[in-house]
Amino acid sequence: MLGNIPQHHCEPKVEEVFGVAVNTPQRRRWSQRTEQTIIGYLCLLPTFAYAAVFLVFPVIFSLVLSFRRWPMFGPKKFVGWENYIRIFQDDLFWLGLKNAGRYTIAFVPLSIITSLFVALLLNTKIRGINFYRTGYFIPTITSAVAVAVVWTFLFDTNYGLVNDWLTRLGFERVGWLSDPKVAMWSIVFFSIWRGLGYNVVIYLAALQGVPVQLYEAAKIDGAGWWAQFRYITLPMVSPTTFFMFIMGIIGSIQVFEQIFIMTGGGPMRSTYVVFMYMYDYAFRYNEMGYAAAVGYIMAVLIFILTLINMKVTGKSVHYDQA
Amino acid sequence: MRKNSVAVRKVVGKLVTHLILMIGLVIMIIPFLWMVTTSLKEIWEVFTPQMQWLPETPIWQNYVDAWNYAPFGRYYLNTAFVSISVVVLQLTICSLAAFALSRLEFPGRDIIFYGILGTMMLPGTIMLVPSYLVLHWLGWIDTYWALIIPAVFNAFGIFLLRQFFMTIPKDLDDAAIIDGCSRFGVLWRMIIPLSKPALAAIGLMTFMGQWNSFMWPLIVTNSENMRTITVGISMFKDQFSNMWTLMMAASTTATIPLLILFFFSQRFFIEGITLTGMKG
Repeated sequence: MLGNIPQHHCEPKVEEVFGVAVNTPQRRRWSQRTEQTIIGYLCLLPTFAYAAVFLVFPVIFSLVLSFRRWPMFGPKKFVGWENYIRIFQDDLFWLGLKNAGRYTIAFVPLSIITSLFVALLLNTKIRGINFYRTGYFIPTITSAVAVAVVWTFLFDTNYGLVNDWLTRLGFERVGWLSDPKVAMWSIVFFSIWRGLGYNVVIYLAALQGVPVQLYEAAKIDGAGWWAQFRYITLPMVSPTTFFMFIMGIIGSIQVFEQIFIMTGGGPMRSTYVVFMYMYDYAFRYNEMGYAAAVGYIMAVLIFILTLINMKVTGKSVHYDQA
Repeated sequence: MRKNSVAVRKVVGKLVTHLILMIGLVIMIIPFLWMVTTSLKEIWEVFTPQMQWLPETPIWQNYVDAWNYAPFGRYYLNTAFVSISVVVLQLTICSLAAFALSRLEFPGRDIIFYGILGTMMLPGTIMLVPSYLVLHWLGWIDTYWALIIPAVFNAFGIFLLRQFFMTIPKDLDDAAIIDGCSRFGVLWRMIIPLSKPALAAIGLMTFMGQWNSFMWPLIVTNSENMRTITVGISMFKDQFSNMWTLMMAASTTATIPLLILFFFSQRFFIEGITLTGMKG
């Protein structure tokens, strides 16, 4: 029984008592360490295998691919910078980038403001608060595809519920998804609607972490609700805002699913985004090398944007959690 | 007098809060109600200028029809099988990795840990094409392997579990080992049972992500038999673009399992999001 006691427990005591490591069973200590090493690497084996096949190899191979003409079937060959040059000369690529940019600029700030606003309301002590919280959360857990189909129906120009209500109120019908000027806004609205519950939960957690004493002190000093919001709440949740800002931009540049379902990039390519461009080249035209090059360009763009964010926006983040 | 006006302002404030929240709630919930009622309408009731909320008589046949037009039963089974497999495999892989990274001491451990964290920075745009090619070479396109295996790794899950495991006192390990427990026994009999809340939160988020995942199944499946429910709905929409009643029936069936799951495990969902939201 006693022989099983792990050595690292006994060892310090032995040294304390005798001043030197007397009678330390070197062999046992060594085997302890070897055992941990073997078991440790064994436990990490699935992770390593996955990382090698699905993370490390793809990253490197993608770069190789981007300098080649690589149809799924047929001859493949090295073409140098040709893919990149073709991409930068393609108006459709720039249109995709522009549309993704439009989406990002509209979605990220609106989504953050709406989430914070709703979270503030849901952070009050009123009756039925759990009921509200559950309700606001529901769109987030449902399948984006299913609810995108539902919203396509709601946004239908002739038979959609939204236009039905508008006409009852005496307004003109709007081509929510069929008018090139409006379609992107409808997509943005949908994305906010779907993501709201998730963001609200995160903001609620942040709001509940703000020490109550700060508000009490501010009240004594005569601060109104706006001053409290501006000088306490906003700075205290700024790490969360910053997190959402960065993640929002990264996600928005790659927006795809809701657009694929709701408009397919139309009408008149007004919602055609850059991820769709990559998808089309990879899985419709089977130009894997070209698509890989688009992927790399997008990744570099995301990386640069994130760096700028860290530098510029990161400064105004208040990390001192009282 | 002053006391009164403060009280009045409080009541008014609460009423306004209720009002705004109610309007918001309507926007959040109405699409689902409209989805369900439309799924029970006759098709002409959809294409009428005088829209009604409720169908004259509920047409349950829509559900039967939708399931007959496309093999939604099969989609369902595929989605459930893939989602559950991914959750089980992912939790296993994450637990093993987190165990090694939190309880054992061996050379290179911390470098490996930071390496795993670093993979979270890899942008999906780079991975899409080469991952597809890897699956193609493995001959996995249009098989369950392609749907399951690429999703079994979760760097953030490893990170969360490692943090959670570290809160369990290490003395417990030693005690267990003295009592003749093996290293894996420590993980399986002690750490896993103690980490149930964390595992549940991660598992639920993964399940939800898998059930709802769309782009990957869209890319790696070709045949009808392998489609998941999201891909099925998308294809259904392309084929029957104006059959709103059937489409709403299909959407309802895709949505309900998650809603049920959510109502039974709301706490873990919220925990899961709060955990993943702290990524920054």
